Amino acid sequence: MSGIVVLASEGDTWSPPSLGEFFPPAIFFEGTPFEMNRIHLIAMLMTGLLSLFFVMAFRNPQVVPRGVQNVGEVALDLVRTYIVDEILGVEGRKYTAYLTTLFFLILSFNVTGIIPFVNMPVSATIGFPVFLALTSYVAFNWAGIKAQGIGGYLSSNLFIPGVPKVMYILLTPIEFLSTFILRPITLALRLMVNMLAGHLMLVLFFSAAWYFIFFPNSPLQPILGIGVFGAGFAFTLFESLIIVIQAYIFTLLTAVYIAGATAEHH
Amino acid sequence: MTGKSDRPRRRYGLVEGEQVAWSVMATLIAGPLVYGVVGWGVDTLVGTNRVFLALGVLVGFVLSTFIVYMRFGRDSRE
Repeated sequence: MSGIVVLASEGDTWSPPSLGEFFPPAIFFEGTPFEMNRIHLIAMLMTGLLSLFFVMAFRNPQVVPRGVQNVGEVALDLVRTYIVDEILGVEGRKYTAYLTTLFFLILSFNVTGIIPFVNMPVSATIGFPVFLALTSYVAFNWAGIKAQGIGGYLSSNLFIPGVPKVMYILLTPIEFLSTFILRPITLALRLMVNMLAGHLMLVLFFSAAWYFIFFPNSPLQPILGIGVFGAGFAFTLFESLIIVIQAYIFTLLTAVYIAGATAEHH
Repeated sequence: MTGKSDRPRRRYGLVEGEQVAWSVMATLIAGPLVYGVVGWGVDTLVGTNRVFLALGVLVGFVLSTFIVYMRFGRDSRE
C-alpha cells in the first residue's frame, strides 16, 4: 500500500486519506453542543430507516406473515436463532429485542461505508461504538446483578475461586480493571478500529484509482489505475463481509457477557 | 437446542475463543497498568526514579499471568 501512496503522491492534486475524513465540517448548529455534520445526519437517517422498517413490519402483525412482515420476521429470527438461542438458551429470549436492535443498528451504521455516495461508516467515529458499548455494559451488568444479586455478581467477577484469600488484595484490582473497565472499551474499540481501517483502505483504493486514470503522469498509470480500481472493488466485497461480521461479533459478545454474568460460576 | 432449560455453554467455540483472547489481553494489560500506576505513585512519594514503576509493571505482569492461568488455564483441562 505504501508504494501506491508514494507513487500517487508524486503528483500535485492527490494526497492519501487521513483521519480528517472522520471530522467533516459542520452542517447545522455550528459552534453549539448540538453541532451536526454529515456523519450525524447519516446516523439519524439510518436510525430512522431502521425504525421505519421495523414499525412497518410489525405494525399490524398477521398470523400468516406477508410483505414487509416476512422480512422483519426473518431478521428477528436470525438474531434469535443464531445469537440468543445459541448463547443464552430459551430463557434468554427476553434479551431478543435488545440484541436484535443492537445487531441491526450496528449493521446499518456499518453498511453506510459501502453505500455509493454515502461512503462513510458511522461506526468508524468513536462516539457511536462507545454509546453502543455502554448500553451493552449496562445490559450485562444489570442482567448479572438481577440473576446473582449485587454481592454475588461482584464476588463471582472479582474473586477467583481456588485462590488463597490473601491474594485477593493483589488480584482484585486487576480483575476489576479488566472486567469492568477494559471490557466495554475493547468492545467499542474493536468495532471502531475495524470500520475505520476498512474505510481508509477503500478511500485509498478509489482515490488512487481516480488519480491514476484521470491525472496520469505516465502512459502506464491509467492501466495501473484500472488494476487499483479492480482491487478496490474486491476490497469492497471483503469489506461487506467485515460489516456483517463486526455487527455479529459485537452482538454475540454482548450475549456472551450477559450469559457469563447470569451464569453461576463454579 | 430444543430442551426447556438447555443453556448451551460450549456451542460457540469460535466466539468463545475470541472472547477468551480479548479477556486474556485485557487481563495482561490491566495487571501492569494497575501496579505500574501504584509503583509510579510510590516513586513520586519516595523520590526514586522509576524504580518502583518498573517493579510494579513486573509484579503486575506476573499477577496477570497468574489470573490468566487460574481463570482460563485450569478450565480447559477440567
